[in-house]
Amino acid sequence: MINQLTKQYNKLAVLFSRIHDEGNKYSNRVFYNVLRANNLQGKKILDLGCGNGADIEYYKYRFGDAVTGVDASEKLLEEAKAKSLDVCLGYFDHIPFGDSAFDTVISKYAFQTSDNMSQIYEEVSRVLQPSGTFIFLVVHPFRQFFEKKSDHKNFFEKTIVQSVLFDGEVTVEEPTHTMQEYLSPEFFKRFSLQSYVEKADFHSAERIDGNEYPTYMIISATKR
Amino acid sequence: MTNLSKQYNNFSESFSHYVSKTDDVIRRPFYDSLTFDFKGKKLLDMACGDGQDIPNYEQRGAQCFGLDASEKLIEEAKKVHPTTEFKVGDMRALPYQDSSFDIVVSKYAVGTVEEVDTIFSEVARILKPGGMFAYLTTHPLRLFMEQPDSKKDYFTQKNVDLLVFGGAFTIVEPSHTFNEFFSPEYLNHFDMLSFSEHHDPESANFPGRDIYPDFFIVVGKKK
Repeated sequence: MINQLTKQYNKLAVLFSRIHDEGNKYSNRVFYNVLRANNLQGKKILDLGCGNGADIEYYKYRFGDAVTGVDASEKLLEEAKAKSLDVCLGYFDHIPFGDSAFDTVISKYAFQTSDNMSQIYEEVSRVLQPSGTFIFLVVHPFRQFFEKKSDHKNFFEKTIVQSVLFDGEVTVEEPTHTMQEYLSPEFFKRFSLQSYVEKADFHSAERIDGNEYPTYMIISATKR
Repeated sequence: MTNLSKQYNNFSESFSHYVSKTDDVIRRPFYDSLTFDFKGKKLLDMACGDGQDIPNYEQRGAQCFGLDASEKLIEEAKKVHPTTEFKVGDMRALPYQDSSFDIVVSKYAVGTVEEVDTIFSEVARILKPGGMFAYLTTHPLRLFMEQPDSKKDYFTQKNVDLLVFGGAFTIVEPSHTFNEFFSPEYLNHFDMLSFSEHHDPESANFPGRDIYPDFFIVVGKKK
């Protein structure tokens, strides 16, 4: 399932690239602030789910040239390659790099497409140096609960929901997650939680029932 | 806040009766989360009620102390557990010395105050370095879902009426976010070791209601 759901970005590549930066500008600002609170200058950085490399350009500008990207969409990677960025095809749960290859792993709006967070944590931990930094932003589990759009929603039941992005311009399908899937025994075994931020961004996400709730969360951790 | 913790005085007797029936749904996952060593450790049960959890902690080998805001529940606790030292007091100003405990456990109490950071810094103060802090409290999603307003706001604190024990009681609690529970203050003092979220079908019986977590459990180690 993960391969299908990450591949859907191939179809959306052109549209996605056009509106992605604009649509995410509020959450980007918060995410970049979390990154800047860490000392990432000169670090070897991996961007997991790098898309067309828009963030890589920012990370290089901010933290130095040692930034590598991995994405599952060939089309988005073509755009990144056209900008001469160091990117390659790969999946979060099979990262095509050796052990301890990076100081820092960053990922934004990507892991929620996976239904196997444990495998991701194992892989991220493998490619990270000891005490390495791991910072990721994902769709908030509460938002995915509301996206079930039923009067008999079950938070604990994994379903595929339609997630409407960027003021309705794009719809993607994503598996739902609980909070404990992210803050799992596998997570705590490998990582120490350093900071947590949850916020609402209804430019990027559909507002359901007119309520105010977190649409994304940012988890910052260090490898144990 | 004083009102919110004193509310248990009003129905302390029948509350005890119901608490004793929550074994499987609430106590079991909480006890299961306590995977660290209790033997010979000095333990505080923060908001211990009438002390129904004390036998479990004593069985594990801990030397137990109990604190609660309700005089009536503490009176009851003293009768049942004459060898345990109980105190009436406020969680935001714990009546204990710095670095005096190895373990602090707490069920359905941390979320009853408006500013949970005040509790985190107090617990950190009375714990020794490397000491363990395990708590169970109402899940932020439940607090959001049960806000009375037609337009709900997760980020603005409101008092929420919560039905407990199949609707036998209504408890009032201020709403909280995960931002508050995983705050810089908490993460500064504690290395978080586990998190789990649980549904309690007895927490309220709304036919056909959505199913969401009613409480969560966090275990952390003082840095």
